[in-house]
Amino acid sequence: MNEFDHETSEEMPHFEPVLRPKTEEAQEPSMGQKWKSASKRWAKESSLAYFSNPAARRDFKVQFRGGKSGWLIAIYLFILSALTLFEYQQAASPFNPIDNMQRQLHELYQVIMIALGVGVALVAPALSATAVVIERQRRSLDLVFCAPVRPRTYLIGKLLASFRFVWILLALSLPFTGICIMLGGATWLDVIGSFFMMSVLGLIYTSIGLLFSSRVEKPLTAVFYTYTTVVASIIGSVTVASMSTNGDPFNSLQNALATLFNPLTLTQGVEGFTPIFGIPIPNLALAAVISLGIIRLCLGAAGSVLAPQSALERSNLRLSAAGALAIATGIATYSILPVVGFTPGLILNWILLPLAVFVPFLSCYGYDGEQRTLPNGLFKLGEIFKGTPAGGLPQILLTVLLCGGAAAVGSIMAGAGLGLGFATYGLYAVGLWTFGWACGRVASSFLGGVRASQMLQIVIFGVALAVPTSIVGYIAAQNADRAGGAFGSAILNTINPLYPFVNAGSPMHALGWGVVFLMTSIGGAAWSESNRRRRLIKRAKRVVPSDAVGA
Amino acid sequence: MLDVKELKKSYGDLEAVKGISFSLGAGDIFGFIGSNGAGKTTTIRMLATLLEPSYGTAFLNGVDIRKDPMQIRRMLGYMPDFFGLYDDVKVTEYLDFFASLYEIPARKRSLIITDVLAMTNLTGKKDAFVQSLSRGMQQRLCLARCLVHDPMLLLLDEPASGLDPRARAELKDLILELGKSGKIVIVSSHILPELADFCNTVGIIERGELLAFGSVDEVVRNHRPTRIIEVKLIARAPEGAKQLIHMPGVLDAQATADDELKIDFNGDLDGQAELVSCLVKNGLRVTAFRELQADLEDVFLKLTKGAVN
Repeated sequence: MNEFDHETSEEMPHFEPVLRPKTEEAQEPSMGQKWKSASKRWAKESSLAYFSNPAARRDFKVQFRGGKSGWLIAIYLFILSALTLFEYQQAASPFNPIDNMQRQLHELYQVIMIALGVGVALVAPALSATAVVIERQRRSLDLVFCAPVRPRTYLIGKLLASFRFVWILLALSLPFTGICIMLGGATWLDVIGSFFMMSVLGLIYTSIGLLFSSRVEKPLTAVFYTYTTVVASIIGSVTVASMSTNGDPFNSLQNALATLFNPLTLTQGVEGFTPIFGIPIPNLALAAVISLGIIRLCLGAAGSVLAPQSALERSNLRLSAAGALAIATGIATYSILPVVGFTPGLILNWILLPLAVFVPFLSCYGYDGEQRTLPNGLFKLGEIFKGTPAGGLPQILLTVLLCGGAAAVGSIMAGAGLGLGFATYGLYAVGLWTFGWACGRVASSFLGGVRASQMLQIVIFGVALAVPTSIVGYIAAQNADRAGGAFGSAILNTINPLYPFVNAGSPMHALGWGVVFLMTSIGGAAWSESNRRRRLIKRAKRVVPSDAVGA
Repeated sequence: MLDVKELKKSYGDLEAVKGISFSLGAGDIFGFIGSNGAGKTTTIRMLATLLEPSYGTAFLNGVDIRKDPMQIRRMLGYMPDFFGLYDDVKVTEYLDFFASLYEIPARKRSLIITDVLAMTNLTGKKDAFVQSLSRGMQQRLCLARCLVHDPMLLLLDEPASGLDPRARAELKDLILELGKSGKIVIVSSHILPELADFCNTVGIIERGELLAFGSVDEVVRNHRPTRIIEVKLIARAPEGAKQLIHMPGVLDAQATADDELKIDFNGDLDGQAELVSCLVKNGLRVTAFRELQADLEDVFLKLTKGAVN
């Protein structure tokens, strides 16, 4: 330990309490007793969170106070009635042939469901995106969290309060969809499935709203981010659905799983099945499981921001995120391999792309932030999931390894095998994301603020990858029609760090770049550490003005 | 019992609280004195488990604030220097919300709420909306919120700021009452005469360091500046000042317009007697001679020198 290292929890002396509670003097409880008391506590907390949540009761009471909600519901019912009447008038014409009438009645059902979908996509984010940020502005969050309330309980309360309103809107539309069933425009299964999925989408949008509401400082920003994400998810689900059906995005969506994640198209995917490991699973069940994962991640991310002493919430979030990514990798590898000509190594690298968003958070604490979080080195397994600098690389590597393992299992199950190619692509993934982490370490050793160093990480990482790729692409395009172009192109590909990322059959490139990334990362990390220490020594020598101290 | 051990909070190079330690027992009303930015709020927020200490810890009735914050929260009530009230609810609904956060069973809540409303003199406003209350009433409602779960420790951060004299007097009585009921009350403030009135223990914090701790008398005795002696003469006060300035222990002597002398004195009782005899020997006629009692404000100003603001 050098003189500039801060105190860590290990170095802290053991403080003896002056008065020990009687329970501590009693004999240590057995494992059974511990399990019993933990399960009791869990049951009590869950009961409080879901059935008698104070935050939900308070918010719901306030939502329905005054005439605003009544007016909103009246307008909503008026729009639904007008749409139903209009569509019914079109279908019920005496000159309308019976097959056309049948089609129009089905359209009536679609129109009502689209109106409902628009309602859910508009109302759910609006209610939740401001729920937490307004409390932060009002400064009532501190009062809530100095009570024995976990962020999870509080967020579930907010989720329930916002969602209950959405569910009222859904319930109020039941008579209209009932008309469609009676007139033959839809079946009971269609309606139940669509309502179920609409409710699930309402929950997802609400949890996305809560996530942004917890993370930003202004209500308007939270609303903007939430609606942007909702719109992106709607567009993205259509794109994914059209990719998975290899067809026209609007005419070939029937039974595609991704259509369920779009409130405007979900009626088309309700009856579909998706084969997982050869077993056809109903899309609704799969969508529910995926949605639960998304909701859990969103609430976990929101909770880790709100937790005053957040080790538990943060660890849970990080563990859940790594697990979710690994499961997604396994399923994607198994499902995509037989359909398209990708290799498992390439799928692994593609599915790890979200790490680009998370690596800045895992590697950058800013120079000042690291002093606060304790400069605890570059790599410590014990710090994994704790949100400290030394835990960043272990978490990145664990995520890559978990996803690699899941991709391997998915590939074997799909009968595609692995081979040397997968190992080299795996090494490429390890190298690439370690390099991303090293960029973060370098950025963190230069800049004081967390956000500034995160931005610098993105710039360094992006430039290091994008500039050679762009140059290579430009030169290749200029020389494409010249003699020896193929040879030149092969050389150019060798110096393109992203070539293995877009090319399934280049294990040697993957191996080479994996090693290069790893070597560069080691150098970068060592440089960042020496830079950080040099700055610490420099700062320690400087006399801190005494009047700079405050609360 | 509250036992604070070397509590420290750093923000990068900045040490907001530099390892403070103190102990308080049941019934203690502790006045936490410091300039703006001295570290009072940071310390209180650490005790309220809203901020994680960089080092050190505190035990409340043997429970470590770092190891079991949830248990600690059940035992403390925290009133910040802002209200953080929900405007859109009624007084009883507001208290009911917090009572349910503290997991008080529904059947007991209304009784408890009635009690705390009576204690804070808000019974008449129980059905009023929070936004319709005056500032003093909102302050009392905040205190009522802190009391719904009958905490053993109350952390009151600048509770009297912005209150009129009557509301302050009521708040003072209420805090005294809470102290008598065996609760530990920590009150931060920079209105010193007020704290000296009702606190039995005080601590002066400056730049994150606890410079003085103890009963008001102890702190004043141990840290008071030089004695100020006031002498009333019939006439010739400036001449008296000239005589006294050369006496042992006299740091300064000033004559006022109405023939009074203010002597900054750093000696014992014999020295004081010498001052009187010096004046008398020089033909000056003394009508009154008294030592002015130093108060908390003098001690505070001496210790802090007003450097942080």
